[in-house]
Amino acid sequence: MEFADEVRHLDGLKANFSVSETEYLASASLSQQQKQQPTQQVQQVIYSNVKDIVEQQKYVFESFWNRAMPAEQRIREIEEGIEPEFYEVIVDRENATQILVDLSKSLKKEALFLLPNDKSIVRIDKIGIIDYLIKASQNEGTGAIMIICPISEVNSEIIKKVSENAPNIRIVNGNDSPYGMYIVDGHAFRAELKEPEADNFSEAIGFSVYSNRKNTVDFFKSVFELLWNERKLNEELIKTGKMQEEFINVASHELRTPTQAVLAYSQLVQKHPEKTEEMIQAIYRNAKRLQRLTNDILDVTKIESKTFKLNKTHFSLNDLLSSVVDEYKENIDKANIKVRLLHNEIDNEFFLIEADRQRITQVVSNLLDNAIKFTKGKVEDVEVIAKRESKKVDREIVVVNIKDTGSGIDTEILPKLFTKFVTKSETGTGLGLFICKSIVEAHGGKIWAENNTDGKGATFNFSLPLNKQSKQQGQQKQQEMFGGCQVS
Amino acid sequence: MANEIERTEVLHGSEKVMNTVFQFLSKANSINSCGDYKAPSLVFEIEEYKKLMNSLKKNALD
Repeated sequence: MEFADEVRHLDGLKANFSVSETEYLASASLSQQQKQQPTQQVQQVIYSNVKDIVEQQKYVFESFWNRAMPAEQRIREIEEGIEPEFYEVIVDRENATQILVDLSKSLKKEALFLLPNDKSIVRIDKIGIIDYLIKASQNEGTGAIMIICPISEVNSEIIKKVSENAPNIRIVNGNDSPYGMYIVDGHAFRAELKEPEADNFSEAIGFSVYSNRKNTVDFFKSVFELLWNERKLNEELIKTGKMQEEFINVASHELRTPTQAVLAYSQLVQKHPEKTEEMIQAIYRNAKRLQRLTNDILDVTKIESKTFKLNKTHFSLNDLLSSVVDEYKENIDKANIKVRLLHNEIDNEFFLIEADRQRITQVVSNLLDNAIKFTKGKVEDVEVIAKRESKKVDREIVVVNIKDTGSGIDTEILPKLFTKFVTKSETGTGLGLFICKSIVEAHGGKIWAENNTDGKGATFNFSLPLNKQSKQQGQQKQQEMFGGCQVS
Repeated sequence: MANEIERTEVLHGSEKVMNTVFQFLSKANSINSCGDYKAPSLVFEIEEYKKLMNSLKKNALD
């Protein structure tokens, strides 16, 4: 400022010249990039007073001046540690490759990659980028690492490597694209795909653009987010479509079988009046099966349209469990299965809940149905246990366990057991557990399932909040029933 | 000045360079300069340039 009226900064400037009204003077050499080298006196200059040359250089100076920022602003940025904004077009493909490697290596917070074809992930894996992403994903504080990439046999090994070593890295299947886009910690890098089948990254790309300008990065990010959401939605639609197709197949089979049975028995009953009672039983059984299915479909419709309502009353869960278990005991006498309600647990505790009695009955019946279905043909027990648990001082819950010794839950369906249309049963529609979950959650409870640790069968559990007066009223009920004697 | 012959030339050697720079700076009423990251240190670290700039500054004030 001592010798100049105004000083401006222009990033990466390579020029040493001065221009007056009539003359032009330039250093004939540029400074070396090694900053440690001492400053030396200029040994060679270019001088001109040719009018046109002076005019040209005035124009060059003006164009630099207009793009430059005030020196004070740049000094302030340096003092505050702010990286200057840049926007570079990179033609040197090795340089572009190195930029992407360095960006991935220094990843701290966020990486969003749009890969242009299925070979792209193989190419970036070759230069170590996938390993850098995996390493970064294991660090605490690293945020989202998201990759959109066309998935095929070509890259299945690398996709597997990522999912096994870095579950935090999310990958969705994408379409082929004419360019790759890489956003890492506020830097955007975009490379044209010139040779889609090339084995190496630097051979595959054309020219690249690299910038840290906020507007550019935000624009790249919004493009990435749009594509990501579109791909996710597409995946969901495919999944939903597939599940609905499966449901239609299962439901139509489920509807057709009892309907045909009802029709057949109705005709037979006319021809064989001597077997009327037996056939009416069969018609009743199949009509009940049809009713169950239509009720399930109606329930799901209500849940989905958020018109599912509960008719809550206060009642004893002990009574409900006893009556459902008693009903099952009568019906499964011939099936070599015993349903045991663990009376000690039940009798010692009184569980008063505020809930929809009919819906909780539906949950218990459904879980018992499943337990019995998967225990079929064996001389085994199904246990129903209820116990009190304290989550917080002020909030107690009752947990009901329905434990069987059947075939257990297939590990493939275990994570999505309570979602719609998920079943391994040949006769189920896959709606029962979804409805159970919705009912339990509508009551403020939770439902979960696990395979038994002894390797035999599974346990389905659900919790419900206990009424605040449950303990007090339980003690009163015990007083009434047992005259104050402690039951053991 | 008006009749000065138009010329473009490359000048070698520190003495010739210094002389040309001095002539250039002396004749000009206003100068627009453009330099890379070493330009400020050239002016402030090399004694000859420093003296030249100070003498010009003094002349301008006189």
